[in-house]
Amino acid sequence: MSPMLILGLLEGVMELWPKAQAIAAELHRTGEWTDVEYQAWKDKVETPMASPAWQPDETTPQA
Amino acid sequence: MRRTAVLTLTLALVLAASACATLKPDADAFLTRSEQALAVSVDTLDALFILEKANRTEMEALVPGCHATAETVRRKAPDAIRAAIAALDAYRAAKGTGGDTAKAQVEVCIASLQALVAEVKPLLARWSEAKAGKGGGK
Repeated sequence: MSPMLILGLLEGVMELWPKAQAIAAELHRTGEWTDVEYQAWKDKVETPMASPAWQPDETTPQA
Repeated sequence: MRRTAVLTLTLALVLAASACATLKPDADAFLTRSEQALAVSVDTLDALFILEKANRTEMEALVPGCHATAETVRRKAPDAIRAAIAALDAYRAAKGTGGDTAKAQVEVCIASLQALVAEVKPLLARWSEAKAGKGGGK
C-alpha cells in the first residue's frame, strides 16, 4: 500500500470522524436530554440546515 | 475520488455497527428514542448532503437520478425537522399530563423524517456498489 493511498484513506476517515463520533455518542445516550441539552441541540441544528450543502440548486426542477 | 468512497463506507459501517444503549430505568424511553432518531437523522442527512454537493457530477454519473432525489430531500428536510422539533416541544411540555396527542404527533413527525432518510440511504449503497464495480477509489 503506497504512502499516498494510506494518506488518502486517513484523510477520508479523519474528515468523517466527528460525524461518526456524534452519531455513536447519540446512540449510546441512556436518557432523555435535559432542558438545557435539548435547547443547545435545537440551537445547533440550525447551523447545518443553513449550510450550502443543504440548499437546493435553483436550477433543479422541483419534484 | 478514493476519499469519498471511504467516507461513504465509513458512514455506512458506523451506522450499521452502532446499537442503541440500554436506557436508565428512570428514562423516558419514548422521548429518548425519539430524540435519538431526530438527531441521527439530521447527522445522516448532513453527511449525505455534504457528500452529494461535493461529488455531484461523479455521483450522478454512477447513480443516475441521485441528484434529483437529493434535491427533493433537501427541499423537504428542513420542514420535516422543524415539525419534529415542534412535536417534541409539545410532548416535553405535556409530559406527565397524559399527552397522548403530543406523543402521536411525535410518532408521525419522526416517521416522516425517517422516510426522507430512507430515500437517501439507498443512494449511498448504490453509489458504493457502483464505485466498487468501477475498481473503487481510482
